[in-house]
Amino acid sequence: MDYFYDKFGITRALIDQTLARAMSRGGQWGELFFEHARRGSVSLLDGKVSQAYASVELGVGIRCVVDDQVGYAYSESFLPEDMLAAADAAAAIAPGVNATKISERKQLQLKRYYDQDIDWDALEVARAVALLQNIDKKTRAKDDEIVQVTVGLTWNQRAIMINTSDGVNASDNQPYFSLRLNIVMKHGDETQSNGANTAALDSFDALTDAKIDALIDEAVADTKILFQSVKPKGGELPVVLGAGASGILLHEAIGHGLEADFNRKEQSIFATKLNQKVASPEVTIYDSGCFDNSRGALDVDDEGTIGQHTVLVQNGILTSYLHDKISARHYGVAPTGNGRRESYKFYPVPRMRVTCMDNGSHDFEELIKDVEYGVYCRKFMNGQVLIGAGDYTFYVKNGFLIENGKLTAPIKDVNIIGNGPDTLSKITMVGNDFVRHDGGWTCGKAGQSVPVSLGMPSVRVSSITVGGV
Amino acid sequence: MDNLKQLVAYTIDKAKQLGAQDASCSAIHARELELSWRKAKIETLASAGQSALGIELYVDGRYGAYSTSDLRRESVSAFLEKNIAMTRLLDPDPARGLADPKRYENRSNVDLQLFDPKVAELSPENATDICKKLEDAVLTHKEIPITDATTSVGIGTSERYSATSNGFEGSRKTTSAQVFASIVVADGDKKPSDYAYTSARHIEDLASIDDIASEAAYFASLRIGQKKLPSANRTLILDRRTASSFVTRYISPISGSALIRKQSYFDQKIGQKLASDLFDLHDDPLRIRGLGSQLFDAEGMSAQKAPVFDKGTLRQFFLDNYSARKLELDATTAAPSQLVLTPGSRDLAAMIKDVNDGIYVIGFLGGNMDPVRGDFSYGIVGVAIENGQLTQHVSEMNITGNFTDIMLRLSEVGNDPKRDATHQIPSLRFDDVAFSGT
Repeated sequence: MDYFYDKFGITRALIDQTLARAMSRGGQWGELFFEHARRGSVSLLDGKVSQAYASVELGVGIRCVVDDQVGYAYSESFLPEDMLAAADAAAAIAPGVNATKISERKQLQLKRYYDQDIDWDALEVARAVALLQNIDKKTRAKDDEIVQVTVGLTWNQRAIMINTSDGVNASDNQPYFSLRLNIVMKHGDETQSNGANTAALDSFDALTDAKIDALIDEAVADTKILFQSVKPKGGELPVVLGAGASGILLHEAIGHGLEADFNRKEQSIFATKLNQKVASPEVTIYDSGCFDNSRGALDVDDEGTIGQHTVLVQNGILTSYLHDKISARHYGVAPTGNGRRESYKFYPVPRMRVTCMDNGSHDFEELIKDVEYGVYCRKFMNGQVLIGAGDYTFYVKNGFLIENGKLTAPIKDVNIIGNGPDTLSKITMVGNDFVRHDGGWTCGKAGQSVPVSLGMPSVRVSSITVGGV
Repeated sequence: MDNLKQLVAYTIDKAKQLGAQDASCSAIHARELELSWRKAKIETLASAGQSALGIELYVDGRYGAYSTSDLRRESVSAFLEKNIAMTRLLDPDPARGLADPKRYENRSNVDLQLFDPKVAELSPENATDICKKLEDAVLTHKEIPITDATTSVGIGTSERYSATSNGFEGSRKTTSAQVFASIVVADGDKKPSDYAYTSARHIEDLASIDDIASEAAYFASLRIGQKKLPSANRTLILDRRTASSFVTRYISPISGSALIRKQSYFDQKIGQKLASDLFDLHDDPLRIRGLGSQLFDAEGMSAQKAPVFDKGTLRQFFLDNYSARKLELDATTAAPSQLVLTPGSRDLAAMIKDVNDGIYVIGFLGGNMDPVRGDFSYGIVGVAIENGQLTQHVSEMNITGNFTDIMLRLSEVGNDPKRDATHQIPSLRFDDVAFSGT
C-alpha cells in the first residue's frame, strides 16, 4: 500500500474522493486500480545481445458497476483533476439518482505465493546479458548442425493497489520473468526450427544451471527429432496427451468455456451444464492461484479478491465456473479470484490462472498399450476455442505415432481440433504422472493478455480430429 | 501537436546530453471510446486518454528501445538516464543505426485524409444510438434463432509526432471508427456465434447498419447444424474474411526479423517464382483514407507503393534498417502497411458455382505454421460445396499442407476485397487441399 503513497504521492483522501466521485451517480460498487508496471527484455541473435527493450506504464483504472453494466475509464496522471475526470467518465454508466456510500476499507492480509521484495528496478542487466551469452555458447556447443540461436529474457514487475467502494484495500508486487530459447538446425539441405521456454514469478536466481541445461537439452532434442518427423494420416484418431503441456487441452476445451461471463450471458456451451456430469469420474479439474512462484499464481486478483484454488470439475461433475465479482453476484456465489486484467487500461473479466487436472490411476504404458493407430502429443504451440460452439484447437509441434501399442515415428506440425464437452466425455483414462508446465504461457481474451500456466497427467482421449495428409 | 513536438525535442536533446550519440523518438496522445450494448442497454462504457513516449537509443555502438507513459519531465530524464546505462551494458552491433537521411526525402505530399472531425466529435450518446440501431437491425433477422446479440462501437483519435537526431521529422493525426455486431444462435446443445464489422477512418466510409446486421446474420446462419465431413482432398474456397489472414500468414516470414533469425522459407528466394501467376501482390501505404496508410514508416523512411509478388514471383522482403544491414541488402520498410492482391473478374457466387467438391471456408480456428519449411495446419469452419451448391455446414475440420506448395495451386482470385478493411484481399480458390475430418 505504501508503494503508491511513497512513490507517487497518492493519499487516502485522494482515494476516498475519487471513489466517492466514481459512485456519485449510484451503482453497486466501484474500485480504483493503481498500477506501476515495468517491463524489460534483452535478446540475443548471432551471438550478440544487441537489443534491449524496456517500458514503464503508470496509471489508475476506475470502474463503476451497476448490476452487469460497467463504466470504465483510466488516467495516466495522478493529478486530482485528472483522476476525478476519469471517475466522472466511469460514473456515467450509473442512473444518477443517489450516490452509493463508500464503505470503510480494510487492508486484505494476503498469503504470499511469490517474493514481495524482488525489485527489478535494481535488476542487474549485466547479469541478464551474461546469462544469454552463456546459453548461446552452451547451446551451440551441443551440435554442429545448429545454425542459429535466439534467446530472449523478459521481465515484468507489476506493483498494484486496489481500493474498492465495498471495503477492500489490497496491494501486490508481481515479479514475472520468462526465458525463451529458439534454435535453427540444418541437416543437409533441410532446415528445422524449434524451441523451449520457462517462466516464473521469481528472481533470476530461479534460473539455475540445471534448469538452463534442461531447457537447452529440450530445445536441441525437440529440433533434432523434427528431421525424422512425419505427418500422421489425418482424421479421427485416439489421442494420448503427454503430462504437462497438454494442459492446453484443459485451457482451451473447458477453461475458457467455464469463464462465468460467457455463462451468465448464456454464450457458453457450458451455460446449462452446472452440476451435471461432463466427464468420467476419473476426471477432476481445478484452476488455482496458489502454486508458489508459478506463472499464473495470484496473491490477489485485479479486483481485490484473495487468490484461491477453485475446483471446476470434481470426479466428472461440473461444480463451478471461474468468477469475477460481477458474475459471482449474478450467480449468488463468492467470487473465485479470477477477475484479471492486462493493465490499468482494461476492466477485469474472468480469466484462468493455473489450470490443471488431478492425477488418475493409470501408468503411461496402459494409456498406449491397446491403441492400434493413434497419436501421442507432447509439445504444443497455441490453441483457440469457440465459446458457444465448443470447438477448440491446439497445435502440436512434437509427438509420436502410436502403432500397435507402441510409440513409433515422431510427428510434427499438426493441428488437433475437437469439441470441448465431447472431448471431455471421451477421456477414457487418466495417468498418474502429473506435471505442471510453467512454460511462459500467455492467454488472450477480449484483447487482453494475461500470464497463465497449466498442468496435467497423461490422458487418453478415445477420438479427436487430427490434422494430417 | 505542439506539446508532443516539444516533448520529442526535449527527449532527444536530453538523450544526447546524457550520452546517446543518436536517437529516434515518438510521442503519442490518443483518446478512445468504446461502448458495447446488449439486451437493450449499455453493457460497458470505457473511455480514456493515453499518452506514451517511445525512444530508441544508440549509445556507443549499442541499441535499446524504450517507452513510458509517465511523461513528467523529471521522470523522462530519470528514464533516459537509466536506459542509457542499460544500453551501455549490451554488446555493440554495427548493424544498429538510424536510417540513411536520404530515405527521409521524396515524401509524398498527397493528403491521405486520415482524420475525420466527425469521428473525433462522436459522443457516448452517438455511440449508444448506433449500437441500439444495430441491435434493432440484427433482431429483425427472424430467419435465424438468435439467442444473444452484442453490438459495439469503438472510436479512436490519435496524434503522433516523431523525429530522429539525423534530421527526420513527421507528424500524423488520425481517427478511426469501428462498428461491430456479434450474434449467438441456438443449435441444439450448442450456441454458435458469428459476427460482422466495419472499420474506417471516416464516418461516411463505414458500411451501413443494415449491411452489418445482414452480414452477421448470414454468417451466423452458416454456423447452425455444422458437422465434420470425411477426410479428403477437396477444393478450398476462402471467403475474403479468411483470405486476408491466409495471405498474411503466408507472407509473415518475408520480414527481416524472420530472415535474420534464419526462420523463413523466403530466404534467398527474391526473383523466384513461388506462387501461381494469379498471386500479384503489392503494398500500398498511400491509399487515401486507408486504415494502414502512412506517408513515412516507423523509421521515418518515405513510404511508397511497392510490388511484393509480381505474378507469383517474389520481388521484395520487408526489411527495416537493422535486418537490411545484417543481410547486406537495401532497407525497404519493416512491415506491410496495406496489402493489395490484384482482383480477378468474378464474384464469390460465380467462384462457388464452378466447384464440384469443395469447402467454402468462413473462419479459421487456431492452427499454426512452420516458418522455415512452410508446413501448416489450421482448424476451419465453413460450408460444403457440392456440384456448385452450398450444402452441409461444416466445422471441427483441419486443412493441412505446405505454403510453398499450396500457393502454386491458387487457381482463382475473386473481385470482392473488403473495402473497409486494412488489406485488400479478395476471396481465393485453391485446388486439391487436404481436409481432415472424420
